[in-house]
Amino acid sequence: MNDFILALFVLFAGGVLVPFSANRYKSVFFAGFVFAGSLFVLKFAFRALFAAQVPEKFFLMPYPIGEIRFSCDPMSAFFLVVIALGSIFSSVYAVGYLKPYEGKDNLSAHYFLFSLLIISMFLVVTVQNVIAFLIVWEIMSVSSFFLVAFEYEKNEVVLAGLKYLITMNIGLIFILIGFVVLSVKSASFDFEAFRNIGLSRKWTDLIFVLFFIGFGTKAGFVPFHTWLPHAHPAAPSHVSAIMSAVMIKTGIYGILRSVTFFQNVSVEIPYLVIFISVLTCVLGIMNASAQKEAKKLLAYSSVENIGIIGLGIGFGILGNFLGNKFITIFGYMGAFAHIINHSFFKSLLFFCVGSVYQKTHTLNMEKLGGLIKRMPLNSMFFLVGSVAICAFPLFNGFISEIMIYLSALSVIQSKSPLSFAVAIMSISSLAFTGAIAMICFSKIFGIMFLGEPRESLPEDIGDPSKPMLLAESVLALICLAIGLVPQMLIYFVQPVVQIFLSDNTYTDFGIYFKFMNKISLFFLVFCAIFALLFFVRAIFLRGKKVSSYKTWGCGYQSSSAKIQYTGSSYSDFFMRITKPFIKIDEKQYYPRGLFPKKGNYHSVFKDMVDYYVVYPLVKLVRRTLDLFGWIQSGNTQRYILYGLVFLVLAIIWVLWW
Amino acid sequence: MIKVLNILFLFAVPFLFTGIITRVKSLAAGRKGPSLLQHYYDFFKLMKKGEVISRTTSLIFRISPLIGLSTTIFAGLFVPVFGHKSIFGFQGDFILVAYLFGLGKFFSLIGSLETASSFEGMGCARESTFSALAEPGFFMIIASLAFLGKTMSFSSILANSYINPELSGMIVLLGVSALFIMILVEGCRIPVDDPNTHLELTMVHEVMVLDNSGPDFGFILYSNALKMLIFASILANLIIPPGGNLWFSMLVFMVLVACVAVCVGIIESVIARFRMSHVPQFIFLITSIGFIVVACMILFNFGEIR
Repeated sequence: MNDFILALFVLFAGGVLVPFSANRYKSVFFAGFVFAGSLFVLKFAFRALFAAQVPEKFFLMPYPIGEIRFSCDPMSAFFLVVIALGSIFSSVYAVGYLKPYEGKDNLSAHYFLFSLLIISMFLVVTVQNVIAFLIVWEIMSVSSFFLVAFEYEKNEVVLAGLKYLITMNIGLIFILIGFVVLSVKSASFDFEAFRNIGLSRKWTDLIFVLFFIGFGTKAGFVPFHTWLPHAHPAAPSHVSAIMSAVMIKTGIYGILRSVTFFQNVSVEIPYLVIFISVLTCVLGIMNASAQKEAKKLLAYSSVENIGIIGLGIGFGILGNFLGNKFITIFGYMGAFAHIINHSFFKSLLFFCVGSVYQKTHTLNMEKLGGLIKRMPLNSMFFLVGSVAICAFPLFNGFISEIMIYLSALSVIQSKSPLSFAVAIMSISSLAFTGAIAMICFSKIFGIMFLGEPRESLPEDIGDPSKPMLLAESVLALICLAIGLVPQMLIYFVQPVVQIFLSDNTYTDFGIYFKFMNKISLFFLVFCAIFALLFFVRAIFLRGKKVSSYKTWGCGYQSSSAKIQYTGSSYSDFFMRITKPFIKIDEKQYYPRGLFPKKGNYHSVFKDMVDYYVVYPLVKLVRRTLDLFGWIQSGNTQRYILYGLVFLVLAIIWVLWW
Repeated sequence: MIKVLNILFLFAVPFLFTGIITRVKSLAAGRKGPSLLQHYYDFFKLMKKGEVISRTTSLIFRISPLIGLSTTIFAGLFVPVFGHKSIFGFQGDFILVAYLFGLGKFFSLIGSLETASSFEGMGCARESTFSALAEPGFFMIIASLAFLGKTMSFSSILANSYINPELSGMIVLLGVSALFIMILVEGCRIPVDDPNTHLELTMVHEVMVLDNSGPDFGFILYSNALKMLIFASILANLIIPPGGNLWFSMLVFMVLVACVAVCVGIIESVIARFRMSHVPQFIFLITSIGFIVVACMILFNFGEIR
């Protein structure tokens, strides 16, 4: 535990010392500190992951807090690994990404808050005391708010950041209530005391639902996801990456931690989790496919992936009820594998998109196109990320999704009609999600990187600078490596899954390793087939004429880049079918008459949940609170009067009783 | 032995399958029609040609037919034929098969988006939507049939789902009809898509491959035919019982696959393609059938009805 504390100090020192370094070296300086600190954490976490003894550390604090316990069980260690890797990659990426912002007034503050965010995330997953947890949780939310608002001069950035902060605090209320109930019932602030307090089923269900809402707000489960598509586009790319890939996972950590508190939730709870997760998957990816802005699309795709993780967790809980070990192990294994996989490919995608933004200053895909010729490496890395996130074979996304599929398929074998129906529906929804993900990512890759530029692009577009390429290439390699050698994923995940098994006995993961051996063998066969066909093609084409000519325009000679399909038109055909679930406000003026003038078309995407739930609710709250607006008039005399009235009332109250 | 036959089946039969369709169509139109082997001649002719490649394209365009074909061949190795076990197999391999088709489709989509042609973009939009709509129904049916087998590999799922008193022919029949629609969708046949249309605006799959030529186009034709054949063999496996004499079940299997081809041909001859806005409704039929299959499975296995 001591090297963990040391690592936190290194990180903090990095944040504090950044203002004293020269502008040019700030990023490198900071990245060095984060690298060193995260390396320490990684070393510590790997040891804790496989340790027989859970490392613990106690701190005695003054009265209301009491004794704070830090401990690092396999689950904490797993999340430490995710956070540490995510922090390393995004701080390395930031070295290149923040180059144009050199000398911006709040750069030092940005780095300081960045280190604060990393430290608070490390603490969130290790601290085992309610009050300390809530404090670091709030530090995490607030520091990330400031990171989102890096470009504070822009109005919409600040608005998006505020939306994020407010949503987080609403989520916090639910977490707070849950913890208050638990602390009162167990008369303790320590997480360990919550484990076996013998609450009735009604209470545990209620608290679990509260935690699910509270932590689900952070994670981005569907009715509470609306902050994501605003905060991610507003934040600089390395921040969006760390938020989407790592920080929202702390919400998942909270849910999983609360799962370990209660062994006796009702049977309905896993079904509820599965239902919400399916909703999150399908709605998330449907909304993603409607986006024009690359980062918004990625944000919605994060929502979808959180749904997939939730599906794994739901089946994991369900497996304990059905008494089938396969379901539990595959479910949790899939969930944890997807947590770490998503952190890799989502960082990669955000990095690639950020590199595009740095060069073109726009993320609207209707204005981009043909970038593969200008930034070939960046485009290839983006392709790797999209193939991985669509869960196509050979890459890591497939590994975690097939585990969740297998968990659901094992549910089918259990002899209960309800679980049968639920499992089938979630399998088909997951398949549907995968298919829409294909639409989404073929759209974003095809429109942004392929074809011809739709508007004239700046001259100096090229591959991003070396640190950015370094971060991207390492991530792309990891995505491929996990896909080809999935055994290492199971190796890391198995001690974590162990703690969720109801009987607490040691389970042999041999069969799961064997399963993954098979998959990696099959992938090698696939590579062999591809190589064979590649040579067949080369042999057939040898000595033949391969000429290049302009694209066949179906007889139309004066083709231009303007008549290419745009992102909106690409997803339009699908949108027409899914219209009831996606709200798009359209305004169109057709060219009319014998001598038609210009026509035009506007479309504005609106999130259904925002439009039908959040905004009316906000309006209602605002109207109700306006009724009390007169209390805070700004008039000092009046405030003194309030104090006086309060004192008089207090005196009367004391005298009366 | 069976494995060699299986591989031979994957390599030799696909164009025969499409050949039968073409022959049935021409017979129905009162023509003599081309030879059954015509598609092989076409394929080899294409393989001998050079290529014309669009100027706007890059690497993606060139490797996309390769990936399309290799995924399809690889997927074929997981699908059982002749009522016997597939060459490869593991728990949940049908998911891999579906995702392999997805990977192939993803690359064909981005490959044709790379040509910067508005027609090809239109084809992409349609094709991706159609496959997205077909997916959930397919998974629903295969997953509910997975209830029957103890394991969840494609071979055992299909081995346990044949017409027998335990299952009732109805579920099999529903599965067969859904898979038949799947063949029409994945093979881009009438009423979803007309492979013979000459107007680019009405094309779906054909328009996506407008710019492919030579060996690349041959690969695309081959992977399309193979994909149809793979779905046809899944369909045939649903009907015939597993095991048994290899040669006999092979004969029955081939006849069934030929029947599927004939049915596709007859449908192509008697109806026109649907209006583009009606095609999604037609494809959604697969999901509807999937729902019925799920309901049937629940009733048969958990309810009192037998």
